[in-house]
Amino acid sequence: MKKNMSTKQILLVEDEPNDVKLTLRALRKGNILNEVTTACDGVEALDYLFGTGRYAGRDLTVMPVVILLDLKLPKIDGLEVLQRLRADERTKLLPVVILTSSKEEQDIINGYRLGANSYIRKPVDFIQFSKAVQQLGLYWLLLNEPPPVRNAKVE
Amino acid sequence: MKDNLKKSNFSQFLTIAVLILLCGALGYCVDFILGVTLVYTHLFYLPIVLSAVWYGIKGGIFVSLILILIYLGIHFPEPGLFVFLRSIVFILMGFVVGVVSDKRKQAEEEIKRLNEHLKQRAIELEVANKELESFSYSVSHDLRAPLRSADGFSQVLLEDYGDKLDAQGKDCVRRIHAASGCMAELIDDLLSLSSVTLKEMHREEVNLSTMAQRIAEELQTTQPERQVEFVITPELVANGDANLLRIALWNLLDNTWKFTGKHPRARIEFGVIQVSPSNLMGEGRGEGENKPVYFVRDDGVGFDMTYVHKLFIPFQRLHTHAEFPGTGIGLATVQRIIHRHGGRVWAEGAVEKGATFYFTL
Repeated sequence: MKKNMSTKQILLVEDEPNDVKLTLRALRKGNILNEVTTACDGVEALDYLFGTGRYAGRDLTVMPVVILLDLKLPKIDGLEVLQRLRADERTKLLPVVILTSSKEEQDIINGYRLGANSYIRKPVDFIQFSKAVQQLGLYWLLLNEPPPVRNAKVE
Repeated sequence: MKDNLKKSNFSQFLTIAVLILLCGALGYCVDFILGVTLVYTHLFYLPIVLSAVWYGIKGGIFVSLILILIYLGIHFPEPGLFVFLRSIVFILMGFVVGVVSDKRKQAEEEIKRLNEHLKQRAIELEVANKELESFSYSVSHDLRAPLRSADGFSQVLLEDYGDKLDAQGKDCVRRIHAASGCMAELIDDLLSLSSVTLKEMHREEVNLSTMAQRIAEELQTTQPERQVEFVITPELVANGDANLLRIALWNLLDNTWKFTGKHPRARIEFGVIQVSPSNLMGEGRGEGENKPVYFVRDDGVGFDMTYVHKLFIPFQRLHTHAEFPGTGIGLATVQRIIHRHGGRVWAEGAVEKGATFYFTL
């Protein structure tokens, strides 16, 4: 089934409510009106992706076409989320963009090593931040071809 | 404890010395009575000799006594009082040697103790550094998010409620925006300053000339319309950490670029002079053979030598933001890097006549 752009979803994993609000605003202002699911920590993100916890019973054929992942998260941090979703057949291929305040070389290395597709340092300047988010949205939703989602059985 | 050691050593020494002399004397008398030479003398003080050897191995001070006894043993002296007197002399010599070896042992123990102490301190320092590194990291990271919120929502205010704001209101928002940008820059500068201090150094041969050339080209592309002449002495090679030296050179050359910005034309030089350290001024002054002193010179706005001591202090500036942008961390960073290389850095300048920054590695 061919999906057009509007059915493509984004998963935003971010614990800072202000950052969530600003990101959503930036997407909206860039005319990116796709559905955005927000997870405020690593556990919620994994619950969503694997259909467990509060997302038990979720239809796992509907996967985000891109995951915007912050690194500093409570409970389970970004890198561990990345590691776990790369280890599971159902989520192994999902594009992950690390969106974080950190520019530390070690974080960048670890991010790529664990299989992130991209690493973006969130600018403090809001105008630049908006532009970055809009570019991200357009690229991953419009230009990029997402991996096909297999028919996942809910375990 | 040292006194006890001395006392116990001394009393041990005294005991054994007296015993050896007594037994020696006794043996000597027996020899004399029986009319033989030194047979019973040696026999009588053999067990004492053995215990002295044992003490010597254990305690050090009596190693000396072994020397005496070996001397007495192999050298067949003439019988009589002379032997006796000579033994006393050698026992005294042995005492001196013993005290010396005792002191040496004490010194060795002291060194061992100091080494342990140093090792402990080195570990503590390592731990402190690691903690500082992770502190700087998390502080800088955690400071950026609220800053982004401040800037972001002030922009939202402008965008969504701009029509309800008068010129004053909009000006407030502008200032909030500028302030958060400024703070972001400060955080980044602090981060890089701390990483310059804490990261490990890897020394290698570095071609400073090609490094300077690349930086010069990069600077030129930021403002291609500017007429700047770069004079870089070729083949300047030094031993140091490539990354840190690049940061230092970048900061120095970026400064020259910045502070010649108001002049229509500029000349920026990077070279080296061979100077005897005693001829140098200020921080550069020192001892030793001729060292290569690298310099970065510009003919820009310069600075008043009255403030030369403030140049390298972090966040200290000699100009306002309106005159020239910057946080005042550049030279502090350069100084840290040069100091980590064991070198010295200093500056000379005059208002409107440019500035020269010298450094050694």
